[in-house]
Amino acid sequence: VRFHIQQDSDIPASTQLNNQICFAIAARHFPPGHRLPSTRQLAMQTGLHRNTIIKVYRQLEIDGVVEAIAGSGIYVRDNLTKREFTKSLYSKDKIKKAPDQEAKTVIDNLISLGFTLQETREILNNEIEWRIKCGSRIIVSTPREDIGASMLIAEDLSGTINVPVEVVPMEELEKIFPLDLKNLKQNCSKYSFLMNEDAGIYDDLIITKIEEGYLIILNAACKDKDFEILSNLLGSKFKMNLDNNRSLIAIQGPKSVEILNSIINGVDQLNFMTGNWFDSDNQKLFVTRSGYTGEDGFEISISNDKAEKFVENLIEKGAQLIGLGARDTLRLEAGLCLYGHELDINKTPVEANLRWAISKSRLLNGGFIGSKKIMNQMQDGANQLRVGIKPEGRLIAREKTKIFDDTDTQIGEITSGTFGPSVNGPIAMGYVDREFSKVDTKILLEVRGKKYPANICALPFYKKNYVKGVN
Amino acid sequence: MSEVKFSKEHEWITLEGDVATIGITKHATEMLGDIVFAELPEKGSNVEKDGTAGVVESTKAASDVYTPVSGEVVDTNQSIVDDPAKINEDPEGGAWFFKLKIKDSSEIPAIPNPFE
Repeated sequence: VRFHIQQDSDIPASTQLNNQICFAIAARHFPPGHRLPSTRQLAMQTGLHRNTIIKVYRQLEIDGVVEAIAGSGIYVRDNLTKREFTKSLYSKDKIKKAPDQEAKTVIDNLISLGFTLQETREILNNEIEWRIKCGSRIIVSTPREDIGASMLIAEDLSGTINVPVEVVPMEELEKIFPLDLKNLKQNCSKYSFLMNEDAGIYDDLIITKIEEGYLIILNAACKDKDFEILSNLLGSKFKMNLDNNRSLIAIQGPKSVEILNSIINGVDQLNFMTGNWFDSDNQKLFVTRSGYTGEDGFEISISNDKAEKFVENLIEKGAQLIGLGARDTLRLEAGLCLYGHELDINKTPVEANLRWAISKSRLLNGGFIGSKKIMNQMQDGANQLRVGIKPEGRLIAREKTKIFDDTDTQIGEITSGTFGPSVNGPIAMGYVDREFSKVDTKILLEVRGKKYPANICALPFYKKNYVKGVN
Repeated sequence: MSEVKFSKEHEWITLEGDVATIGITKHATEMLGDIVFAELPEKGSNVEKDGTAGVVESTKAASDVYTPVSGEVVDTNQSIVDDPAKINEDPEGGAWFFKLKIKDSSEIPAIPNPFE
């Protein structure tokens, strides 16, 4: 797990780190009993002062998320209750502010905009009513890779937790996401984004239709602002339910179906981006056909005590263990975007070549946040576009490599670059000015002070093999 | 040929007359993983002790290759540029990086083996 602190953020670094550690725990990157990195390690990784890290660890201890064992280290507690965790996720800064003062500010602002006091009351009432209606139907969980874990959370919520249940009107969700949600089938997932009015991407995410509503899965690397943005847009209160007893295992690759089906009979009947419950070895497992490798694959949510044996079983049947670095190579070969690299607040879905993720009916009719910009860019073309890039020879051009034309003018920048084992050559993605975005355009890459030739090429570098037509 | 010596930056060096042969250690290749790119200094160029004299890249990361001694580059191993996987296969033998005509043999590091 890597923590990334945004120095230019309005959110204090300590709060960012606190949130990210909580997410890592919630996403089970740090399972119960896991030892947190030493303050020295974390200080090096994040660039924060050790005192800041110590402060965050103390707060986590006070919140009951971790416990310090003298002379040994700081460990994730294994008896976390859902409440304790939920509490620790909310920023305490907000509570400290005087609520009446906040209310005065809001009212003053509305009056200064020209509303009467009566109108102000009406505006506030409507807003509050709407938010109450929205309630907690939207459940936010951590990574895109963890669809299975989030499905479980949803499953838990419907049964065991006393969450105020109100349905978010589909039309309201559609204001935010450029998706045709009415036609999204149960247990099916769609890739989408949170955008601002200029269609800049705050984050990409997966939204899943579940029985009771919709499930939104944000990135693990988690922009701290995601919660804030969503709550500003939707007004719902987010609840996070930590299920301490489950692990998530991903098995990816063309043989994954064969291997997994020999253990969990029936998973071969799943289509890509769908999930369901299965019985195996006397326990209920939630399995989704998903992942981020550009290959067929599955994610299995399983109880902790069975996880190790399950993995051993997978290995016995021919699976091999890999790390996240390998996944990054695979997703790049598959031409998949990674937030913070190909996507950020300054990129729109049109520039990122993600028009496919916007439902056709929504493209025609608009009516979602950022739709004006998107429709304009669709008509007039975007200034820059995401492209695939193949350096000539063996040179690897990594992120931030500058791209030039033959007149020495910079025309773009690489956002991800590595060596692609499946294509046996260097590959990259990046943004270039539109006139250079055509396949086979010759460009120059500046690496270590020298310029090397490269070509714009079609994406993906490696043809994906998703399973869509099982049933 | 003199016995193999190592630098702190995980290069190895042997000396024959006033010509030193330099490569990267097995340990370095294991840390890097599958090496997919190598860049060597230009023949005839001069390199300074502890200065950059090449680059190796694995799928994971790019890493500079330093020279443990100063000297003039008299030969480079083009075969590892053409097939960088050779560096993983035989790092302390056939996959040497470059040969230097050295100025001062006292610059050669004294570490017999930093990982033992």
